[in-house]
Amino acid sequence: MKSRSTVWTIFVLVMVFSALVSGCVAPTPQVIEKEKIVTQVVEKSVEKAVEKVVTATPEPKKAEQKVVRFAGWIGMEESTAKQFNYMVDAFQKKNPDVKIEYEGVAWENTRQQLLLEAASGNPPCAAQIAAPWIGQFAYSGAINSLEDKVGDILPNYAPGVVDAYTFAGADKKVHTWGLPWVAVHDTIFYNTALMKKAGLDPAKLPTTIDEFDAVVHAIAKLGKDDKGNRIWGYVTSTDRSELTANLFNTWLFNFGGDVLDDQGKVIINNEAGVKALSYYKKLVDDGVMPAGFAFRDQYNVMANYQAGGFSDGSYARDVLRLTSGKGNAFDADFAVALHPTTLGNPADPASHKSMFHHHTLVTFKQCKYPQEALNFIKFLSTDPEITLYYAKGSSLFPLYKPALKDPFYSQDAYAKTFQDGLAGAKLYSISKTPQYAQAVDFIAIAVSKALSGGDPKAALDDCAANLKVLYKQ
Amino acid sequence: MTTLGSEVEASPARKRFLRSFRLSNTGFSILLLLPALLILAFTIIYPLVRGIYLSLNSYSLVNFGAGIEWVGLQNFKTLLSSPDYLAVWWTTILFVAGSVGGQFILGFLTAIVLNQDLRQRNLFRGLFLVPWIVPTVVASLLFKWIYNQQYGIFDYVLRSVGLISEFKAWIGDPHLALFSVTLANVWKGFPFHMIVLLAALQTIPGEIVEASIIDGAGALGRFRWVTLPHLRYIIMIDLLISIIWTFQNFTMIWTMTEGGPVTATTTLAISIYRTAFQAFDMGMGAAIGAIWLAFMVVFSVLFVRFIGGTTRLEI
Repeated sequence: MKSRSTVWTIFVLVMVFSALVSGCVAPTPQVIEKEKIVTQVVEKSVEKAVEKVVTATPEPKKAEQKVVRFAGWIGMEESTAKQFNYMVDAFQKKNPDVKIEYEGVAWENTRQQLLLEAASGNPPCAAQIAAPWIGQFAYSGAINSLEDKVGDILPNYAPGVVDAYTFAGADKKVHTWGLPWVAVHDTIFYNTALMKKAGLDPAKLPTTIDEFDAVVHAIAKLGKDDKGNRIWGYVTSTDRSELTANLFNTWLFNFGGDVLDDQGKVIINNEAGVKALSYYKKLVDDGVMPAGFAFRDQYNVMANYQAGGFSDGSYARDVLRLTSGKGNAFDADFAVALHPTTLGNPADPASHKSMFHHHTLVTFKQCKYPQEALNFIKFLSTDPEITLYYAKGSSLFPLYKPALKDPFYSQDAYAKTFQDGLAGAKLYSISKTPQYAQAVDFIAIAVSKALSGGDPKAALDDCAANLKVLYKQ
Repeated sequence: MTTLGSEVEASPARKRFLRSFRLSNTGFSILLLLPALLILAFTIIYPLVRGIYLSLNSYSLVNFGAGIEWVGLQNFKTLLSSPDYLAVWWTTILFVAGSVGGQFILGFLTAIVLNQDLRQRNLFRGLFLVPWIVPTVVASLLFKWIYNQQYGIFDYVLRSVGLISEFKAWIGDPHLALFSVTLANVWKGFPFHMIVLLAALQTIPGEIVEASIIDGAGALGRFRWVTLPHLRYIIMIDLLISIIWTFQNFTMIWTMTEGGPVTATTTLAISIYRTAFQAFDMGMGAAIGAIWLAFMVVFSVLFVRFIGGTTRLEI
């Protein structure tokens, strides 16, 4: 009994002591509440008095701020961030009740981050994605179909582009899933300084695979630079990545191959596919191209005159200007040409195939302000002033024909090359399928397997077998 | 001497106090453990059960409107019949064995050296901890540059001393990539072993060492018959923790190679990430995780049984 009463005594003492200590340290909530009420009463009476003196009319009610979250990599990359901020400011000036909230995502993470956000019920209202991912987003059920909402402007885009975004999604009905923003399709950037050094004429850029082969071999023969660094004839992504698969796909197109045919049947290991991968392998075996090369390293080697060329979209000009540290002066040391081909008439731009990675705009279903989100992506994609500003600042050209009427696009030789390239650009055959991510991994593995000593035919046969399981064939 | 796990005898006063709340000893213990158990249930048990449930289902985030479809053991059958999956296990085992082996040997040697009466011993102890302090992403990017085929210092040094004639793609060549990533992981992880073993070395009583010297034991004999037996439990715990961590290593491999080239560095952690968060096949990703979990549980029990022996720790 004694110990029990001792415990209770200690308990009571502790409680009393705690109450005293807390009383010394800070006012209790009730005290704060009372003080608040008194302050509020005083403030309100003063406000009323001031109101009566200063104005006879009540202040207009402030419009509700509509926040539209936009996700993408545009605001994160040095070569495009400034342009994006300008576009957002311009839109917000035209739409003062809308606030664009930017969610920066690195290109490499965009696809999975947005799909995960959508699966967890928290996607942005609108986003920038790459065209090859459109199938995964369409099948996820997370994005809106756009044909009913922007049907009036869809016919005004460059031929074939909207068709690539129009296919059956999860609901088995054909819809248009994205709005084309800017053109990104592969061309070859040649290092003209190295071409001169190798005794080549930089004005004569290759149009066929044979011409290309001669140029890159001649550059690779330069051996090493003054610092002892290896000079490659051509570099491209050859590690295990999505870009390795996608850039190889352009070569595949130009040898007459594809991953799937029009009926969706796996054909990557046909004769054209084996020829394309064998050519890739030959470039590595001849010491012209490195295996296991990471995409982003291509800018460094090009800017440091250690590569004769690489494949990329139009934005690469600005990346090279920044990477070289020479700004616009570096333009004198490179030139751009359509992808070399084995098909048709090399003088016809349509013979030069490329895979398009066009930056694409989509809106998500779970959005509080769907109309504002739609207005924002329409603005980005079609406004002539904004698209021109973007094209001049970041070398990313619009796909909306009325915006392309500005003389800049036909007079600027660089812009014109990319306009010509649109004739041969098409979407990856696997891009309209939800299995895209697994498919590109199988292709990247096949490429890196062949380039690291494997047999191209065997690598593609393995890849085709995996793709057939994936596509249930 | 009280052995761990034995019941602590409650004092009469405590018993009376507990009786006043009508709680038994067990009830009182459960009451105290309840908050921690609730937190564990939400943070560990629920995800674990959910993961196992997902492994028995087909669930794709690319078509999350379709929901979850029960497939039973199909995911496990697919995995166990896939040569690619077995190759992932082999890569993981090589990576873990190489990393833990390398880290342990390097850490142990460093600990022995730093346990000697050296000048500036504390300075070196601090310096050797640097790799452990550096964030894994930073260390990985550092090694990515060190191994760079065009500018890498690793190639430069090897070529300068005449070991190679041409620059090599250390993380771009499937025959070299696993070795290169393992080497980077050894550098990153050896200080952990060093600090654990150094602390343990300092607990060896000087009298035992002196006695063994008097008995004629040489340096190797002292290491074999005095140091190693004394450190047995510490080594066991150190290795077990390290093995579990290395099995889970994702950041370093992903940052350096993303599991490539080809599949040269695709370990279980990379495979799960690719399956669940790139291909969005949550069911299959969960199945890889469930097999991995089962393996780790069995491995840990066997490891403790064989390496630690059957003697119980005593305090």
